[in-house]
Amino acid sequence: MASSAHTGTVLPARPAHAHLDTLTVRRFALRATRYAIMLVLAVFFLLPYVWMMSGSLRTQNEIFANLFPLSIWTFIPKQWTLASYQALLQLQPFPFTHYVLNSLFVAFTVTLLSLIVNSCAAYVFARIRFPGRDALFVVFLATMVIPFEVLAIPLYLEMRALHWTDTYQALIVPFIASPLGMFLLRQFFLGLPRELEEAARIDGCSLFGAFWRVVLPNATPALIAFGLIRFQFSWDAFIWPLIVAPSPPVRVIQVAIASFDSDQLVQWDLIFAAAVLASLPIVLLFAFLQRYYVQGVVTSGLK
Amino acid sequence: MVRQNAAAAVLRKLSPTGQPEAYWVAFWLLLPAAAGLIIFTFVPIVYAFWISLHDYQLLSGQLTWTGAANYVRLLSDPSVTKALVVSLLYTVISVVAQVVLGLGLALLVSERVRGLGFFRAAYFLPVVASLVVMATIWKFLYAESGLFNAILQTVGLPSQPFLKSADQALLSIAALGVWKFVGFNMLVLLGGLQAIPADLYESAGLDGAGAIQRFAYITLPLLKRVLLFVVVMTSIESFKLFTPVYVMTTGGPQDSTDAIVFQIFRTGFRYYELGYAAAMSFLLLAVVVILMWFQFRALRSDVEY
Repeated sequence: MASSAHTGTVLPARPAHAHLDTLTVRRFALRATRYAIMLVLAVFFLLPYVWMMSGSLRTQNEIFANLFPLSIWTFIPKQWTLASYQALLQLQPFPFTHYVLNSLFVAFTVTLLSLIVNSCAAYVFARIRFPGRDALFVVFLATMVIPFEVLAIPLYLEMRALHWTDTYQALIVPFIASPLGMFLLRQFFLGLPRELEEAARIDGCSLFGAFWRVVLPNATPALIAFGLIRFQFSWDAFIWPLIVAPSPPVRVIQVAIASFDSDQLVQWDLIFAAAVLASLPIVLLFAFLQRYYVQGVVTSGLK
Repeated sequence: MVRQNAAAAVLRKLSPTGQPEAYWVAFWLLLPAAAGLIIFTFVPIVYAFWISLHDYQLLSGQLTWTGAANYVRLLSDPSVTKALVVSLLYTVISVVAQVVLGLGLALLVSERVRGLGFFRAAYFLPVVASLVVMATIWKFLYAESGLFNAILQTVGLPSQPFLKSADQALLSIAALGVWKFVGFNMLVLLGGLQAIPADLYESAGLDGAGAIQRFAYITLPLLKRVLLFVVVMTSIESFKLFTPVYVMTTGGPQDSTDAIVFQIFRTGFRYYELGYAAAMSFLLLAVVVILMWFQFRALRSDVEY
């Protein structure tokens, strides 16, 4: 570990009667300050979450009460209620769960298809040589520079020409191919030993069979990392669904939440409860799969 | 028959795996991804350029060739210049704040202390939050009678207008950006810190280097490549500022948060001038490419370890 080396936390054992020298005191003060800073920062980072969760459990009148002077009641509801969540279920024309299911469906489909399509492409870029392959890979990667916002207008017109506006396809199909995914997965495939596939080929596997049955199962960590990135990307998408699929039957959760905050009426109670529901799936996914994500992100950063 | 065999023989020679089937496998495996990128990235880019040479009204669908007129208009449009300045200013603030604080956090959580897992998770949590949701929550935190002002009053400071003031709105959005994204930089930089061999610090310690010297002469140079990645990612993301503006300020007050992407959105989908909006998008693309080029040049790493 680099860590213990640069503060020198490993202190030599000293006799019990040795008085505290200034160095030890200073070191202790430094550590205490550092710990205090970390705690204050943690409070700052968690504050909006605490606020959001307690807001979702308050009565409508209480949301704006108890702010000043600050007290424990600023952060804890005096009167606990699930009224906001019930209101979400009674929304017209669709209950909020409809938008949650839309988002879940879109995000799962994008993730699944994205994993299949991009791992296939990544495997070719990692293992099957053909003339012009690397040039093609560079051209694909270069598209990562293009901000989606640049594509939004022509893509919208394309969707209109296909009669895909206000459909699930419009939210899913354009996001299946991902240069980032091809890059991350290719890096991982390159790190796998070739002997794996060669053994499978000798045992009579086809080229595709070796990829599908031997390479892919060995790439689970990379697949999870990219799947997580893709799921979050899709779950959080806002500008595109707002443009291409705003109508209630296909509306996704983020667009639904933004619609509670209009110029005429801001429905804070709904916003808080919906915000909690929107955060839940992602936080849960990350809680269980974070080490894969860390691995994926760190590898891409160190390249 | 003979010709087929000959073709197969040629293919076999070309293919390193010794089988012509490898090409077909490669073709079919690549096809879906390639088709996706062509249809939903390359075609739209070309199409966007085509549209940008026209006056295209979204509602009537009327397309009139205007040549470079949209681009000429861009250069003399003060609101576009203003929007570019807003986006660039936001980018500079965000990159400095998010990279410096990200490094600070990474250093804080790189050492073993009690509850380390909790601290790392707490700092990282906003990264997984949805931006729409958090922009909405922060709008409330920033309100005149919101939590931030309640905290200010409690410690005896005057309340601030935050999003309601042309001077503070962009900074307030930048603060949300720091809160939301700094955890990502922390994570990447932490990975970079942990990849630095510990014996470098040990030998520097033996040579009598203090903490600051070790940071300046070992940590920073060896972190250069990771820093480059973080700076590039942060600046590209920041330059595309849209969602918080849409949710929190709709470009105001007095256009102080009217970022370029927000203006593209408004021109295209509120004023329905798609040709002009497409021309603006190419301006955005040009700036992003230039930003990346400069950063790669400035921070190109020459340290290997």
